[in-house]
Amino acid sequence: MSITIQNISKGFGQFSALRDINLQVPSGELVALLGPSGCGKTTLLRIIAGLETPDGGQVLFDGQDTTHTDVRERQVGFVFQHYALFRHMTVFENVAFGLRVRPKATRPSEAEIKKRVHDLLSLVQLDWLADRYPPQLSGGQRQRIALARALAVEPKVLLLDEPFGALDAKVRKDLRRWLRRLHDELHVTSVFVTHDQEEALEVADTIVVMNHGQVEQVGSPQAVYDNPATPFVYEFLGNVNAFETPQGKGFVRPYEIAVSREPQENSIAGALTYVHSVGSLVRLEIKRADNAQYVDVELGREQFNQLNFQQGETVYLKPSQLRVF
Amino acid sequence: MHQTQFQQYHGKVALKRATSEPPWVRRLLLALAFAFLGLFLLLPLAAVFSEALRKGWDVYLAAITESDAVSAMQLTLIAALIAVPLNLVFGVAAAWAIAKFEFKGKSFLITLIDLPFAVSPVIAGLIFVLIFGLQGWFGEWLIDHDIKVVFAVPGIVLATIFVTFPFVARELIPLMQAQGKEEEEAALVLGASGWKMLWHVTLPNVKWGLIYGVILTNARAMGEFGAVSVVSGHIRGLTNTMPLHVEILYNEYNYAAAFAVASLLTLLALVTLILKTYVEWQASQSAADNEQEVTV
Repeated sequence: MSITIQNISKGFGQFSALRDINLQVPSGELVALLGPSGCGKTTLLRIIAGLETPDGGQVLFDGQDTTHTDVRERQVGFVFQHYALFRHMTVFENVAFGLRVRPKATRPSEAEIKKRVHDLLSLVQLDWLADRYPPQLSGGQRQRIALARALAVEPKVLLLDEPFGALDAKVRKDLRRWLRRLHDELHVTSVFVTHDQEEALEVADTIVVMNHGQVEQVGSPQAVYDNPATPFVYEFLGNVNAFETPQGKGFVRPYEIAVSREPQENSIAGALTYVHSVGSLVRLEIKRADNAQYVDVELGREQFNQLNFQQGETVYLKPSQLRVF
Repeated sequence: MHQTQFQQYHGKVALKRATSEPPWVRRLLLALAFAFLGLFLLLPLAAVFSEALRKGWDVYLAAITESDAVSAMQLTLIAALIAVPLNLVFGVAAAWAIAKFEFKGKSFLITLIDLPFAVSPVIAGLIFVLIFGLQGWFGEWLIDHDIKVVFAVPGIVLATIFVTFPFVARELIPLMQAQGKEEEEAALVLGASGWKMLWHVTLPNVKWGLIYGVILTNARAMGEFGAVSVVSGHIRGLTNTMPLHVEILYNEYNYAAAFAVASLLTLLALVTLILKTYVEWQASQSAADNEQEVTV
């Protein structure tokens, strides 16, 4: 099911959380709402779910206006940041909840519920935890149970609020891949909120970069990374160096800078203050001679070994690509 | 200043735990606490039972099976049976509204809920006399329609409801606020109706706080004296609750009977304490589970 957001705005008292948002989420895609905290991404997600009412604008599911449809009738699955599992129910009952609360006419039989829940628990690979209670699970397990519970009602749209926010780095990485694979399997239209650019770049089909209640850019991970539309996107996605140029502020990625010992036309002199060489990339920190600002440069290990720069040495920088705004 | 203080204490304080006191101080404090407890709690408790049984079992049994005593017990039970469920429903509704929603006048509502704690019970009783009494606002209307409130059972029930009004809400509000509303939202998204959410999510989560509040409400409802005394009119066998009955017997120098009935109220208090301790223990168990949930 596709989602269309038209001119959505929302304020909380004096604070304007969302300003005239327009967005199109094609059916079956996995979309990330990416931005710093307070940018309105969670509010937008909650408006799509129906947990929050917009002050103005419309939400359309498959072209149908659902702005005033009750949250219970929207057929969305929502995974909360802190999972919000029902703490006094077993894992099985948590997943079964959405089926059990249906009106008698549409409620599946006990046998069907049992089968559905076990199918879902197998899907999230936690069938063996059916009789446990949420407090007895690890963070990653809770996350997957929360997902199974959301999927139990066969949602047309899956919404996830900072799905990996509360997990430690290792678990987060595993779950990220797993979610990607699960989405490829189920193809349910999904929107997730994150403040972690790496997460968005790795998992999403499309990234929506948000800032101060507005959409800064929409595009594939590669498009937003390689061709940021605004200075904010440049600075928010990945490392970047900012240069003052006569035409305005210029941005350049650390790997888009050539370093040499000899001055060249328009090159900038600086002192190599720090070499960080762990992994396949070597990071150089260079202090500019003219304005004492620091510039980050990334070199391949091979290249670095060939050039054999020493800490403290004077080097010359030349950006190979500079985007000016 | 800081430096000199540090130099002064350096090497001395660190040898002992910061919170420890010399043994004699500890012993003295403990002894004081126990002496105080003994004098003000255990001694009166023992006195109640020894006075009640001073003239033997027969007198004791006669005192608590006498018809006025039995009707006082019945009235106390009726008042509690009406006040507790009503305040349970009201308390849950108020706590729910206050903890889960934002609205104008919220702090005013909280103040109103606390009012019965702030007002002297005697004043509370007088309020009802003023409203429903012979010279009160609705006095004439009530006489015209032959309805008795003050100096009758309805007045006693009203006064009891008033003084026990805050217990459940007060117990639930902080609990519900701490739990937030994510679980309720999850239930809504999964399609649960308001009732189902209340029954299957909200109430089970505050179960122990709720039971605790009910126990306190019940104890107060059965033990209330001041407010009930004002509206009761002290008609023997009709509008006397147990605490009022004890007072009448005592004023008639019928000590054995007075203490016999008082011993029943004392037993109620002891049962309340035991239940309260059990519920607190259960609540701390489930709180510990949730603690674990946060840290894992």
